[in-house]
Amino acid sequence: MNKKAYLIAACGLLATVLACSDKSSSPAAPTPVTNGATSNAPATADGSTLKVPPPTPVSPANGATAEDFNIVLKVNPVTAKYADVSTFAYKFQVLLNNQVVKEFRTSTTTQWAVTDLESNTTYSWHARAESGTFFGPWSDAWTFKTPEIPEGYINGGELYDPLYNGKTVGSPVGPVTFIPGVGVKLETLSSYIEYRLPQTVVGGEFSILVTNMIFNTEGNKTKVMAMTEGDSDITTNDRRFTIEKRGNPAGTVAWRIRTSNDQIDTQGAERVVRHFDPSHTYFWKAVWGGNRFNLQIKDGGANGTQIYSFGKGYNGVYDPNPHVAYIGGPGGRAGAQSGTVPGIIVRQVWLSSRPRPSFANK
Amino acid sequence: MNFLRSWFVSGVVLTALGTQAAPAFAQTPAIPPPGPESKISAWLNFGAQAGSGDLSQHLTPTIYDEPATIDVAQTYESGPLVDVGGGYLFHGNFGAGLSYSHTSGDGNATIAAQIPNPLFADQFRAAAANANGLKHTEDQVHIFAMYRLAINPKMDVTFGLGPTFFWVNQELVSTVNVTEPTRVPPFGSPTIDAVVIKGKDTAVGVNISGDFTYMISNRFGAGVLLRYAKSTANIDDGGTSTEVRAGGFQFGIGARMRF
Repeated sequence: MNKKAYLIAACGLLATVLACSDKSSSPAAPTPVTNGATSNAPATADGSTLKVPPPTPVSPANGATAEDFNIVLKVNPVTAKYADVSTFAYKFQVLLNNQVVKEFRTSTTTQWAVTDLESNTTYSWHARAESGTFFGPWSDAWTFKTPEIPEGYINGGELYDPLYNGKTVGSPVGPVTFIPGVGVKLETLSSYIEYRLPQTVVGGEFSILVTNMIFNTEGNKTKVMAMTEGDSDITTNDRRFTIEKRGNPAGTVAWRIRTSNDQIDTQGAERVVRHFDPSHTYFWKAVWGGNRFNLQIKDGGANGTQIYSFGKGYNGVYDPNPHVAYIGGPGGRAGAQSGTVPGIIVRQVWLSSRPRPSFANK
Repeated sequence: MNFLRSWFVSGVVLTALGTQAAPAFAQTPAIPPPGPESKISAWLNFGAQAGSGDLSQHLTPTIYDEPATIDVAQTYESGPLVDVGGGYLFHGNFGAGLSYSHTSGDGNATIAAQIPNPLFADQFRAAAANANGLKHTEDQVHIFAMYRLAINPKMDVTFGLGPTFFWVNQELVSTVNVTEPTRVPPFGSPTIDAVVIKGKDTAVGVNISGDFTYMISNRFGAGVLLRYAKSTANIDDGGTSTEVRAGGFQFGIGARMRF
C-alpha cells in the first residue's frame, strides 16, 4: 500500500512540475519603423545604389582605332528595373592603365565627346547611369585606340601644320626660324608662311596657337593671320581676310573680311586693345560661314580664358579661288609696316570646314 | 490551459487521496478478474490539446535587389484531439502501450517589414500586415511503459511514461508580395501580403500520462485521459529555421476495451 501511495504521489509531483514549467509567453509584436529609415544592410550585390541595369556601350566599337580625335563615347540608355523611370544622367570615365584620366557626367544625354587624349594610345572606358547621388552599375569596359598625330598636310580644303616639328607644309617667306618643339618664329614684319589650298573653304575655322606676342611691337596694321584669293595685293584683294594685332595703336585687335557681296570691319566695340603677354599662349580662332564671321582669342591656349570674341554678319559668300592662307601676312600695297606681327611664334595651324581636332591643341 | 493543468494535477492528487482513504483497496487484487484476456487493453479518446504556441521569424528576403527585413510574430492555438491506442500488461500490473494522437489548430501572425525602395538602394519603407488562419497540425506516436493501479473492481488508473514522436506541420510566412501605389518616384508607402508556406519537421519528446478507467462490463468501459507530451520542432521557413513548439497538455474522454 505504501509503495502505491508513494508512486502516486511521485507521479503527481512530476506532473505538477511539468505543468508549471510550461510557461507560454507571447512574442512581442514587431513594430514598424519610420518610412525612409536606412539600414546597415549592404546595397545591391554589385555595390551600386541605383537599381538600373548597366548601360550597353555602343561606340566607338570595342578595340577600334579611331580615325581622328573626334571621339564620341556613346551608350544605350537604360530603364529602371522596378520603376517607370528612364531619364538619368550618365557618367563616363576614360581610363589608362586602370587609372581614371578623364570623366564627365552628362545631364541626360547618353554620349560624351572626349577631348585632349594622347595620340597612339589605347584607352578603356565605361559609363553608368546616375540620379542625384545614386549610381547604377558600370557598363562593360570597352577600349579604343587614338590615332597617330599626323604630320602636317594640305588635303583638299583642309590644312594642318604643327610647325613645332621643324618644318612646314606651306611656303616660308622672309626670315623665319623653326624652333623644334615650339613652333616657327616669324622674325620680322616681312616674315610669313603661305598655304595654297586646292579647294575653297566657304565656311570653316582658321585657328593657330601663338606665343611671344608682344603688346607693343613695331609696325602698323600688322597681321596675325590672313586669307586671300590668289596672289593679288592683299590690301585690295577681292576676298581679303585679315586678322590683325596692330602695333599702332599697340595691342589693337582688328579684322576685315571681304565677301562676294559685302565687306565687314572692326568698328567701335570690336576694335579693342588687349595687353598681350609674350610668355602666354594665345589661341586665335576665326570662324566664317553661314553669313557670319567671328574672331575669338583665348589666353592660355585652346581651352584658355576668352579675352576677345566679336563678329558680324555678312552678305554673300566668302569664296576665294584659289584659296590662299597666311600665318602673318604680306604687307601688300600698304607696305611692310602692315606685314606680320614681328617676333610671334606660331604652331598648330588648322584650317578646315571641320572643327579643330584635339590633337591640334597640344 | 491552466484549467487542464489543474485538472490533471487535481486528478492525480485526488486519486492518491482516494487510494489512501480506502483501506479495502489495499487488499483489492488487480482487476479485471485474472485471465489472459485481461492483459490487453485498447482505447479511443476524443478531446483537445490545450495551450498555445508562439513563434517569431526574422526574414531577409531579397526584394528589389536588396535584403528586406521582415519580422513575424505568430501565435497558434492547439485544437481538437483524437487519440487511439492499446497496451499490454506483460508482468502483473506493469506493461507497455502505444498510442497515436492527432491534433490541429490555427493561428495569426503580425508582420512588420522594411521594404527596399524600387529605385534607390538603402532607402527602406515601413509596411505592416497580418496573416490569419495559419494552420498547425501534429501527429504524435506515444510509446510508454505503463503501470495499472486498481481502485476497486470497476475502476483503475493507468500511469504511462515514455518517448513521443512528433510529426509537426506549420504554416509560416516565407516572404511578402509588395504592391506599390505607383511606379514613379517617390513611390509612397507600399502594401504587403504574406506569402505562406507549409513547413514540416519531426521531433522526439517525452510523454507522461494518467488514464482513469471505469469498466461498465468486463470488456467495455469508459475513461478519461490526461497526458502531457512535449518537444520542439525546427521548421524551415524558406531559408532559416524557426522553432515551433510541439505537444502540450492533452485531455481526452472515450471508450475502453479489455481483452
